[in-house]
Amino acid sequence: MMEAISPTYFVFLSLFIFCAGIAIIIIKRSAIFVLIGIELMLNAANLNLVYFSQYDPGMNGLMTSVFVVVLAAAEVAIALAILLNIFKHYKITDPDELTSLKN
Amino acid sequence: MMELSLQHVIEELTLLRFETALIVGSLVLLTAGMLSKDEVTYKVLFSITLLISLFLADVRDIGTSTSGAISIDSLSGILKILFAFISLWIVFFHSTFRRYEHYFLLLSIVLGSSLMLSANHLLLFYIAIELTSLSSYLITGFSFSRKGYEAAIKYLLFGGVSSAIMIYGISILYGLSGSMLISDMVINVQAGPFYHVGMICLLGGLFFKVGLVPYHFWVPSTYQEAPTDAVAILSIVPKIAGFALLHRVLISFELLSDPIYRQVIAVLGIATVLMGTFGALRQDNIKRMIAYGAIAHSGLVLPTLLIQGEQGGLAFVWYVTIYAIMTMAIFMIASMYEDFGIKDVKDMKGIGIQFPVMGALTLLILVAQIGLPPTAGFTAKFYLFSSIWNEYQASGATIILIYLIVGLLSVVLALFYYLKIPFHSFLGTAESPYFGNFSIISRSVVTIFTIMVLWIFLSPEFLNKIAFNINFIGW
Repeated sequence: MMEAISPTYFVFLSLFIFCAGIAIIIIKRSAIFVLIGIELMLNAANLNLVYFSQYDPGMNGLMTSVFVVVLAAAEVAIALAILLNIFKHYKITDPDELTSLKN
Repeated sequence: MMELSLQHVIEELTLLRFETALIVGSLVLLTAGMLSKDEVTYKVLFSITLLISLFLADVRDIGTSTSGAISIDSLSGILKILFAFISLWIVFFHSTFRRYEHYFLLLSIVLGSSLMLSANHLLLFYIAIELTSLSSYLITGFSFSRKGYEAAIKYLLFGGVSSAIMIYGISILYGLSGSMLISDMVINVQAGPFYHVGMICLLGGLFFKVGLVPYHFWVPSTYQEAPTDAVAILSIVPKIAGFALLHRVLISFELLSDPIYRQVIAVLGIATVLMGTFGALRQDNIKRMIAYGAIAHSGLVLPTLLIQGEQGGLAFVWYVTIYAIMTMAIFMIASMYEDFGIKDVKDMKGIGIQFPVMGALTLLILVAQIGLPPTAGFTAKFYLFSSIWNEYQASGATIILIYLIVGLLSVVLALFYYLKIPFHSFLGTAESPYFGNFSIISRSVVTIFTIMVLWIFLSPEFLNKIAFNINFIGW
């Protein structure tokens, strides 16, 4: 068990990872980097879920984190399938350059 | 810890028989799709699945599963029937060849949305939302065009970020309460800054699903580029399910008694109505214009969630039922014009003169979208605005009065953009006559929908009788 480590560290670590994910999404322009940012945010949530589940006799948080990992993989698979098609048509992966849909 | 025996599993499957039928049906469809190359097979299996689940759905069947993860109330019963009934009409869309995955994804969207209606456990809540979202991302790209992929990746990136924020909010709330059951959480939680951060993150994910203002960017491009029958499902089923889930969250966490949350939600709703209305004024593409109209409709449904008691529930069910009927009709009309190669309002010059019946049907459905008599759209808006007015008189909050005024203003402005279509099709002159004809099946289905819209206006007792027979637990 991890009782020796104060919960504050875990909360701050996950908050840091979450903010890093958001920063990547805002700063980086490539769609691949946005996906990496999303992955970091999901893992920050996973860290919280796994840590907090030690206070829950049902271990619901641990169970949820497994599902989050699986769903993240599914999402990335879909995103890469769409990105491959975009690359075939446009030869770019930068969502800012995709501007054919405007008012 | 609850001991899970076979008895419990069977009990929960009885509660979830609507969803079970959808799961089995979609797997059969997926298998049959690999064996058969005929689109009629897919359509038949799609409609058989929905008919069986419609047959198994029962409004009186309410209860909570032993683990507490699934709780079904009468509202979710009604909405499930509405989902299955509305999705059935998809098979009558006249279109180019659709792959079997198309119908499988549509069934997945319906399945995810009906799970959203009964989720009481945050894990089920997250899985249901993701099932709906992932299927929606995929089906947006199913027009297999450049712009379709562009709309899909934008939708996916927005959706991925907002669902990541939502699961972070869920993890914070879980840490604070030590429980994943929505109904247990509020008992264990003390409101503090962390609680509010978690709550705002959670609400953000739901706002994305229903397309409220800070999260509405995906709506116009997705609706413009996704296949039209998929958009018809996307704009009805997950949106209504999202509102029902949002209502469950607001009630379970007792957020409606907090004046700040009420204010913020009302302000976001007003912004949504304004954004949708003013956005639609500038559009020329038919589907994009309907998309902005749908954003405005989202903003108009939102205040019913703020009204507690039976009146709010009645206004909500009325509005979403009629919204579902007229949205299905308008997308079917849009797909029929697409068969002629018409995507912009300006291409429609004189088509109403050449096909007067079609022009008249279009006009009636658009009048319903605006909310004028003699159509059911008027009845829905009438119920909505009178319940908002009663809420204002009961609470005296200025924000509710502003909401009412903005709602009325949006009806007036809706005249300008929706009537652009009949204006061009009746008063414009065509450069050359249109060749071909509208498909007879689509025409008859649109006629059925138009008759429904007129009939509900003339005899609203029918829907009222259904609504009064059901008592709204927990609205």
